[in-house]
Amino acid sequence: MLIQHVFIINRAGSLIYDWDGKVDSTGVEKTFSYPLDIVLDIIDQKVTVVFGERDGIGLRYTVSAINGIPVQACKVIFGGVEKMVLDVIQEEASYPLSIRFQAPTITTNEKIILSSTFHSLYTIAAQLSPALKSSGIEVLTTNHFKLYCYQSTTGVKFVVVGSLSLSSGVDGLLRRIYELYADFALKNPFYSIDMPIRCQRFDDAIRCLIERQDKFSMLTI
Amino acid sequence: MTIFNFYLFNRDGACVLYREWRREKKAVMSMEQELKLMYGMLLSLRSFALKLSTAAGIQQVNSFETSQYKLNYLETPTGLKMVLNTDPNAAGIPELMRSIYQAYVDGVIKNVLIESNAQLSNELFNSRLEQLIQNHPSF
Repeated sequence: MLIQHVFIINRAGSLIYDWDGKVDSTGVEKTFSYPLDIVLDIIDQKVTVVFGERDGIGLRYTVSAINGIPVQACKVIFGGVEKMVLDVIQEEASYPLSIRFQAPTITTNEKIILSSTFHSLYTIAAQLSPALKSSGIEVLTTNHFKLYCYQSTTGVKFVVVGSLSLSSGVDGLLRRIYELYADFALKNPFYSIDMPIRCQRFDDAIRCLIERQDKFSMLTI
Repeated sequence: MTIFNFYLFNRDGACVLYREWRREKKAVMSMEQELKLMYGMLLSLRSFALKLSTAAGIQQVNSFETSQYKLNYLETPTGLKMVLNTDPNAAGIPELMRSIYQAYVDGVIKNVLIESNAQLSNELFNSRLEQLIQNHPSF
């Protein structure tokens, strides 16, 4: 899909809604001999590749299983005993090892942190503007994705993260998401302002809107 | 179409060069605080983009736009960071930034008398930078 994520961020910078496109991330499993030529380290409680890309294993990939046994937060049951993954990898007697690597993913906590970070970046970008009366970040371009942001006059931010080829119709999409937010969240008498949105019909409406957007984008490319 | 200002940060985060051409809004804080805030924003942007992407490999923030300006960003593998603020409709800015980097290499890196972390007062690079900016069609 062209659209990878949708976030709605409230006035205080908290994430109140998120939607993910389908990610077809396949893992990579390979058998290794001693010594391992990929450098691994623990980043955010995950055993992560920090150096040595090859055979489809890229930087930031994490170890998800060793000899078919799932890894749980840097530990694995190896030889009947729970051990640190890095210790298992450094023992020569452990080899040959079959290690499965998984592409990077974003957890819910990371989304909450990212939303707060973006809230600050938005404000600072307006502060550091060399031009008068500037808004915050509206389009952020990297070499892997584009991020579009629309802030309503009441301060709620609607953020869409898409692939690089997503370029047309995003403004309309953001305003349409704003309309759905007004219809399904603000008109809900049981919804408290600035709290997370938990409404199945809102989810369905967002999904239909994005699927229609994908079809439209395919036609215009 | 215009070019507002330019920042050059070394790998330690110190601003070694700041140039201003058509800046309309003066900062409400002191210049030293603004440079720290700008560098902090760039660091946060980089880690934000790194975490947000699920693609493997190196993340590189290219630019961001607001309603009134566009911040163009270039970071070299050696940690040098360039920020060029332009009008959102300015064209050809990535090539201009690579030209600036080439002028930096020619005028500063190849000059053995310059301490690499010091404030830039190299007249050759400064005049070359002015020339590149003022001859650009987006200026």
